[in-house]
Amino acid sequence: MAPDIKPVVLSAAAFEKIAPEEFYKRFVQNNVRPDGRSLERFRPTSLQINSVTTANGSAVVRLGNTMVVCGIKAEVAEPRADAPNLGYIVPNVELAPICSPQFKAGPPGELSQAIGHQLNRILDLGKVLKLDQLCIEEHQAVWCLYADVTCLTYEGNILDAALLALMAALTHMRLPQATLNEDTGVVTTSLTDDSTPLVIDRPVYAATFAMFPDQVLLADPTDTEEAIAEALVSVVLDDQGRQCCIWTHGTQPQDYTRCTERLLTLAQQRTTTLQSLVTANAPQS
Amino acid sequence: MELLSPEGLRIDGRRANELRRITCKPSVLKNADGSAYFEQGNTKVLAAVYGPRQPQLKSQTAHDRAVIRVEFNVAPFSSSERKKRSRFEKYGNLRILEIATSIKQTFEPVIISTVYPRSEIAIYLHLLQDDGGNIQTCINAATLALIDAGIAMTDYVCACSAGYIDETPVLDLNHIEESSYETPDLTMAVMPRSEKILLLQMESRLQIGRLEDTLALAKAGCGQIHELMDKAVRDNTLDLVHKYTN
Repeated sequence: MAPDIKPVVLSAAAFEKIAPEEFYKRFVQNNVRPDGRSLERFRPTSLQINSVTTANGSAVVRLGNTMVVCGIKAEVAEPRADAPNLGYIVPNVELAPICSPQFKAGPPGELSQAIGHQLNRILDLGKVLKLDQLCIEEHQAVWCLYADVTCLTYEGNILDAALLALMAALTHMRLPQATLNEDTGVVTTSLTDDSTPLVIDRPVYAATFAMFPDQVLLADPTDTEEAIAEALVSVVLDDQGRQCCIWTHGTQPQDYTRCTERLLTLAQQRTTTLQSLVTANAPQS
Repeated sequence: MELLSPEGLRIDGRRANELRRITCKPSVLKNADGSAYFEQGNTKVLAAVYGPRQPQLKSQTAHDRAVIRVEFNVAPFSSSERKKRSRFEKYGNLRILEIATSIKQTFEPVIISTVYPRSEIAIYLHLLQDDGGNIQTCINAATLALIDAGIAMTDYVCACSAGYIDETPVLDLNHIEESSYETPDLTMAVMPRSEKILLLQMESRLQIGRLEDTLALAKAGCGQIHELMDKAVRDNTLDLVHKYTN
């Protein structure tokens, strides 16, 4: 009698660990993802404004299980000699070990530096706001806005979450009234109710997609999807749907242009949703 | 500045022996094995516990027990003055290291580490907003996160601060009271059941005759915090039981 050979039955979790690509392929064939989303669906996004009262402006963003806090502190600084009336915005992203076991304690890692740099480029190239509104007194004193984005839980797509938090915090922040005393050179600030908010000329929002073989597009990838994707595309658009930046990493599919059209349409829809989310969430007074 | 009004009310309207409003919630982060959010007045701390897991550094392994690691992180926007972000300040900040070490030493006797040999329990504390009493809030948050992670412990650890303003012992100082030079303040962490003291810190001058009152007040505060924490843990567990049974 032949020995009774039983076929190996793997649990879904074991299958995902051993062959993540194959695991995803099975799901994608049925137009669904392991977390129950359809392929082009973003995770539920929520926003909370000005919950950190020590900051001049702040926003908490939840994008599925990715959660970030952006806090903006305004400090008086000296302007550059070649741009005497321009202030500064310094974005910084922190991925501490609290948000995921994959990050180590110590100096900022590659990812957090890269995202921080990307935010800087977006603010700079996208002409999001005019820096001359941060001027207190030409040649003497300007505002420097330190925008610190701290990640609390990490589940992929940190750029979208960080940029949304930054935009929301900038839109709803209030600068203290500042006056420079000409004689002493000391800047006095006071936070009054009638202090004006910043003028955001061009609010920008990001939409990130993961590309899989056979032109499969997954919107808003989680960290596991980011790890096995062929390419990642981040599109940054303003509220009118005009392009600001596009980043791609990884290998492009051959008929890239066909993908791009679909991708831009999705990104435009996403931008509209995010813009209304930011404007609808007026701060709690 | 008048820290205590003639009617005996404090700068934020509390009575002398009154705690700030406490909100706490275990299981707030998905990635961590255990987590908790603790809000004491305007001081807000998020704690995450990872472990028992394989130690990230091989050299920091003990063959008979788990090694406890504590990282304390202060968000740059947490206080009214932004912390300078130079490399020296941030990673060599002795004050932060000192707080982390004292929290680690507080938990070492309570965690039954011998049941997890050759492993590591990492406690990450994140101060999101600072309004005084960081250490006590961090300890309370860490206790809830450890319980949420299911780490074996002999008891809760509850911490509270107390001080002395104008002949009156006051409980749970906020930032304004804490930073005033005349106010002596001490932080105490106790195990509420055995009433053993795990941490007692005081970095200011206090008349020796007043120490007894201040200690008694801090201990009473720890008792109140214990009740709130116990309720939060029970509610969270009941909630889980309901989710599993339905």
